[in-house]
Amino acid sequence: MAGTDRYTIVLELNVNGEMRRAAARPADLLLDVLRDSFGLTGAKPGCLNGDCGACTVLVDGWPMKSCLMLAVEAEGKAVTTVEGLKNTAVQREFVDKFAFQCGYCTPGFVMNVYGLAHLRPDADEHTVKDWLQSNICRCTGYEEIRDAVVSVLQRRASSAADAAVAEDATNAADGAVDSPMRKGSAANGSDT
Amino acid sequence: MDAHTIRAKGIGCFWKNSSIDPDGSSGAIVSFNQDGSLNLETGVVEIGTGTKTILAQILAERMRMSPDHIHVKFKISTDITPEHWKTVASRGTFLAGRAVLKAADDAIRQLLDIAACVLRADPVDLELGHGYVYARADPSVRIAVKDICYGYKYPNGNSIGGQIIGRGHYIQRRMNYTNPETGEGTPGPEWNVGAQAVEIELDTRDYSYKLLKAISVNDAGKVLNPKAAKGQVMGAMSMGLSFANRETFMFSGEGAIYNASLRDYNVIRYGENPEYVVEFIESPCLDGPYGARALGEHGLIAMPAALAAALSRAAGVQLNRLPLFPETIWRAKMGEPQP
Amino acid sequence: MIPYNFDYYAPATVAEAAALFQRLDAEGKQPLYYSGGTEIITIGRINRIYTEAVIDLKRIPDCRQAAVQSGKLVLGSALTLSELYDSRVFPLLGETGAGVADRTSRNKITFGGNICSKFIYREAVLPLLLTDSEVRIAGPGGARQTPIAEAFDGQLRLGRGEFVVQTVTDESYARMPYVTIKKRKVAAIDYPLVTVAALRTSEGIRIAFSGVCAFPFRSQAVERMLNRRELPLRDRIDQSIALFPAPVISDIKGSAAYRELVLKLVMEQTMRALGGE
Repeated sequence: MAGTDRYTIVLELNVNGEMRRAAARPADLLLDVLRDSFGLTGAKPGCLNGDCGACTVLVDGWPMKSCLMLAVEAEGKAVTTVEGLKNTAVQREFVDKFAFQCGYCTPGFVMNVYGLAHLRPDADEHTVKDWLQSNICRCTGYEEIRDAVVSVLQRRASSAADAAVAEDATNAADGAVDSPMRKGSAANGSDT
Repeated sequence: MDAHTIRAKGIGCFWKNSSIDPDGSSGAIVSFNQDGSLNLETGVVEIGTGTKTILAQILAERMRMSPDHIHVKFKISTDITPEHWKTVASRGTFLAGRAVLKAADDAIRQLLDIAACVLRADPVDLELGHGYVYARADPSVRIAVKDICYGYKYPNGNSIGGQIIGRGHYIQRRMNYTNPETGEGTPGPEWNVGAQAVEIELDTRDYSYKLLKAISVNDAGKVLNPKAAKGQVMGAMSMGLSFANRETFMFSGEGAIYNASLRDYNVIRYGENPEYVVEFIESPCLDGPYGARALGEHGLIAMPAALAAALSRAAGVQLNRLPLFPETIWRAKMGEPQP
Repeated sequence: MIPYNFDYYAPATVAEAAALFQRLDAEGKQPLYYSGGTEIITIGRINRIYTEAVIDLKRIPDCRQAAVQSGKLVLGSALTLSELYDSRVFPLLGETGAGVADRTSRNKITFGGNICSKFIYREAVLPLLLTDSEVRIAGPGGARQTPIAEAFDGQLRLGRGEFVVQTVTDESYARMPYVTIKKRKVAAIDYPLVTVAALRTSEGIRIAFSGVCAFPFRSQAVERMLNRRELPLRDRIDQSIALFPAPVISDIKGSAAYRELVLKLVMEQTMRALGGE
């Protein structure tokens, strides 16, 4: 690409609680910077069109398709990839319930479910469906994924003092559950 | 249900024989580590079907040990990994499973030979199990696998045996080419059967419908891993329903694809799936490893037919075109040509 | 990967954004305002849109505002569709927007971006049309506030360098009974066959459409016909469709004939739900 140097910038991103730098183009996608500059290959390139969810990461705690975001847009925000989750309840339930086969969609699903469990621990079936329809799985019949999600949400609902949940909080990257968005940019916004 | 809602069920049956190249073969290598744990190397590519796990289970069963002590080599090197014909056609467990059994038997024979010397016993009186080779009639006469799998060293330094490498292969018996004129031939060793059903709820106003419940009963021969088997069949049912209900490419008159992205090529998503019921019957395949039959693809096959049967009944019109978009049903009902 | 380079600007004020546009435009950079950015990224990836500079509006506080000011609901164009849905400040808008794409995409797609979309659906505009909202538009020539009916004619009519800052809606509309229905070909996530949003006011039922014709619309003629209670509902629906401003479309989602069938059912459901038999 002619004249690329002139467009190179130094990005500074908070990824999994670490400040990391990369030389990138403003036109570079968050997905590509995570994978190619930081070696974080957990977020998967799928459709690259915002349709499949395989590249889902958390941005300030919210599930986002990293193929629909420029890396520069993530500056000043906390990005969490699946590498930032260590033996969380979501991951354990996915293993326990056989909620994956080939695994390609799994990091995206795990991040979405992790975001859901933290932002909407009391999510009803409609909300779970609404959120999880953002991701495509080609191998399973989705029932195993549903079993994993139900189990994660039940754990969160049943006991805030659950050791597993507390452990999640320590294991997740800093800032994963705090969101300026959630604090309500909308006036009178009750966060339901 | 009410004036415009009809519930209906449809059933489809399937049989499938995996037709592969008549000389499609599979190989396996079993080697040991110093601690007596095993390495299993096959050419099956793990694409999410869990075949490598099943192969480890098969090896553990034959070696009478825990699968926890089997290291499954995931990476395939075409330089040195034994060939597996292709990871297709629901042939992974069958072909590679038999190769693994043969490799296990080869390794066991070598272990017993060395142990026979050390224990001063006839190898036919010895058995392998739980990390030891021991005398069948007196298990206190025994030696640990870890002490013989790289040969045995006597106290004075004399040594016998050497590294044990079990090798195995399998090729299907008496396959031949199918006659293109008559269809005669033996393309594969076992015919596997199953029955599947779908229950739907049709809205007769716009012919939209819900997938309520889907059932599959497959003859698994022998279920080697219940969770994996259920997952394989449910996933296949999901794909079969997705094909039947929405998946297709749409072409212009010049052959250009109109829906070349997942934006417009829709697949079933979370929560659009019906409730799944998966059951197995077990009539062993005498050629299969531990009686197992092919399983991976079979859960897909009759789903479109079952769905079409249910919708045909509900809509009162014979539906024989896929996918079954609501508009497709509406056109059939109206006697309109399909686009 | 986007196969060409551009510069990224994140101005802090409306005036700064407009001035940036003017300068970059003069330099031949073919600048684009960037809000959620999902279309610029996905269409840019396949080279269907080109720019050498994007101007991100998300850091402009006015574009992120959500407030009630003297009886008017003021919503910033850079609020995401998810934020509008979750906040419940304007449920008709929140729920209509919630039919777009999927939840995670809507965490990125913005209100203003959807209204100015290059695709034909722009469903977030329907509630604005129904509520006679006004649009605050800014550009190099300054700011203006225009009724949506004047600014939107199938698509938002913006002058060179102009962008939507906010929409202004009389708060009373947010409490009126409404219906919003999106029907798709078969899948849960897809573009619409038909999207209908409707509102019951004291004068009658208002209704707006997307996915039916090649652009979203609200039509006085259609509403007049639908509110003629002396006629049977189905006749009103049939006759109102004849008054649509453009033909019902035929595409890979559905033929015009099937779309019309679904449209009639949705219109009937809508009218009944709002007591418009």
